[in-house]
Amino acid sequence: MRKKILEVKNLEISFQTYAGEVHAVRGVNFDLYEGETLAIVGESGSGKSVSTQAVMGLLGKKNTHIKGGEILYQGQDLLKLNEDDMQKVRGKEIATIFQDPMTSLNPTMTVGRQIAESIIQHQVVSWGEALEQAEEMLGMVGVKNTKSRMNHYPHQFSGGMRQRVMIAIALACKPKILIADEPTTALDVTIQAQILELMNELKTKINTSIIFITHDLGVVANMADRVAVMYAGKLVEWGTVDELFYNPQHPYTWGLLASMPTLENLEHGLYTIPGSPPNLLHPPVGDAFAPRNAYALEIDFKKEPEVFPVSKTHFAATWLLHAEAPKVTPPAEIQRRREMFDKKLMRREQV
Amino acid sequence: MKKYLVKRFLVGMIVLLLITFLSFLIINFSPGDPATLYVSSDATEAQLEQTRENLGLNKPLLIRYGHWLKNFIQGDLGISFATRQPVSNMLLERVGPTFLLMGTSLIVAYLIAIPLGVYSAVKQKSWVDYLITGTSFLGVSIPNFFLGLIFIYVFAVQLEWFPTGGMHDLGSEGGFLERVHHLILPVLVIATTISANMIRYVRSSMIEIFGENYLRTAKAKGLKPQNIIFRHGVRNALIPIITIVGTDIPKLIGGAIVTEQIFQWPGLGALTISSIQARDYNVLMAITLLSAIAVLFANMLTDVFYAAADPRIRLNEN
Repeated sequence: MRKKILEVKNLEISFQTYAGEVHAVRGVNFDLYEGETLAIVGESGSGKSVSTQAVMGLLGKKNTHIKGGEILYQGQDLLKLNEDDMQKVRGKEIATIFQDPMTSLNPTMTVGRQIAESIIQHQVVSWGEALEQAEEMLGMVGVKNTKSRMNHYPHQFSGGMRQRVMIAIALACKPKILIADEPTTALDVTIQAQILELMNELKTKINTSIIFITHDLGVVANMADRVAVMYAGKLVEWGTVDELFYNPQHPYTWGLLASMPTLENLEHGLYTIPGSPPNLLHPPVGDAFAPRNAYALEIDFKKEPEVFPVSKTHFAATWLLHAEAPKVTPPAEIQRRREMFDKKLMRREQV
Repeated sequence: MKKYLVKRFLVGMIVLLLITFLSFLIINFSPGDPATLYVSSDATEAQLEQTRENLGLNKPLLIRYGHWLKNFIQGDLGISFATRQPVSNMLLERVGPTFLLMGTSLIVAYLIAIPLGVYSAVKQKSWVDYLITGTSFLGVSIPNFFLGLIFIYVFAVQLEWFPTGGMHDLGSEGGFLERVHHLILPVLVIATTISANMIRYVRSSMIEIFGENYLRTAKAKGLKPQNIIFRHGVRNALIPIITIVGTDIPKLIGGAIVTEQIFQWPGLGALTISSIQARDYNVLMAITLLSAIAVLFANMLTDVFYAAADPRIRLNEN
């Protein structure tokens, strides 16, 4: 069994707004193992970014309230660290890449300095050595002519190249965890593939674990070892990529997968999940997904579902898994996926 | 960049030419006949005509302008009606004190405004922020001359900390410390008005920068708050401020006229007032010209600073 490097337990975060308290994250639990890539998927506003920004301690102090829970990094609760100690974690132990490479770099500082800055912050090196390491990093992320590129400003780089620079900054101190918050959303598809490939390559080279936040399930399949699905501030289902993609249990995961374009579902058009996510100013009782769920049971509107284990690695929070729940037939797309999953299992047993 | 500056310079020349023509018209069309000021009140019409001829005022306007322009290009600004001295000598005498006053005021203003503006933004919505923005609002609202009178009354008349005016003590040539002593009050008056305005710009510019993604990146690197604010924040926040510095220069020239008058500062401002009263056309023309050059030069300097501060707008790179 691999070592757990990060454990998030019962994390609850809310924002104070003029309208009232928004319960953005409502009790999130997940673990991250050494060297793995965990994808967190979910639609906008489901709390994926907020949860991970809490891990980095990047949430603003004024109107954010971390109401409860623990974020254990190598056994140490990051929520209990003071600002000085947290600065030593940020960038060194846990680093992050953001969504928008066009605005995430300082426009008036050379790229080389922006990378070297994080090295000199966390390591006992001279400025010259830091610049040397920075140049090496720049080469590692696939930037050519590093010598002259070091002295260039961000506006002289294309979007994809800037995201490479962001990766160089994030990995400059060889962090144990890299949080990638939709790192390819702002890039076009070919560049996206290059960046993902680069991340996979560096992950093994530097031996870092990745938390990959995305709403692109296609990306998840290529990147992740495990997937967690988030909805309305909670994880509704998590498991290995195979389990999630081929044996999903939560109707929300069904919806997500059914609305993913595949070669098979091209003919009858894409599925969409009806309705819109709940307003987290007033979180619903019961299962937050129930009003949009064609398979909702009566109990879904009254009581929040427990987390049921499907396998040792696969869990889902839906009453459908309760022993007394009626058997439902999932959408055709999901049945097709399950058949493939069963075949895979059988093949594995034969081997 | 060089090509751009040469172009700016040529355009500036044309603007300057237009300014001289317009000011020549305005000055000469303004009521009052200089000739009447330089003869006794019971002078005959013939004597007046003679004076006009002496002053070169009897020819048609356009010919006089052409004459003035020709002399100006040759470096001759003419003779003052009032003092009969070459205008250039008078200007040279006055430029020094005005530059001293304006330069010191600008530097003091920014030394006050930038730290306070940044601090106010960092401590946004705290009582310190409210105190700073409140005071700056007061500073913007009080006119220069009124603030000058208050300062003279409080600090010079009541407390007797500073002299009421002038550049040095009567009958003294004035050492460095004495000069500084006289400089403090007028500088404070001008600097208050400029920095009051500037604080608000710096603060809002800084607050805008706090929302930028690259500041989040800086924080995610694990940088210390002071490094985030100064290395990544202030530099970017000051770029829009440069434009405002450019517009401060003309304001400073206007403000200096009033402030110099109140503090009897022997600079261009005081000379302006006295030459308006004396209908001293040549001196007025020269001062207008000098102000115009200062403003155009400030604008050009703004562009240069802008390019220096922001790599994105450096022209003709490589």
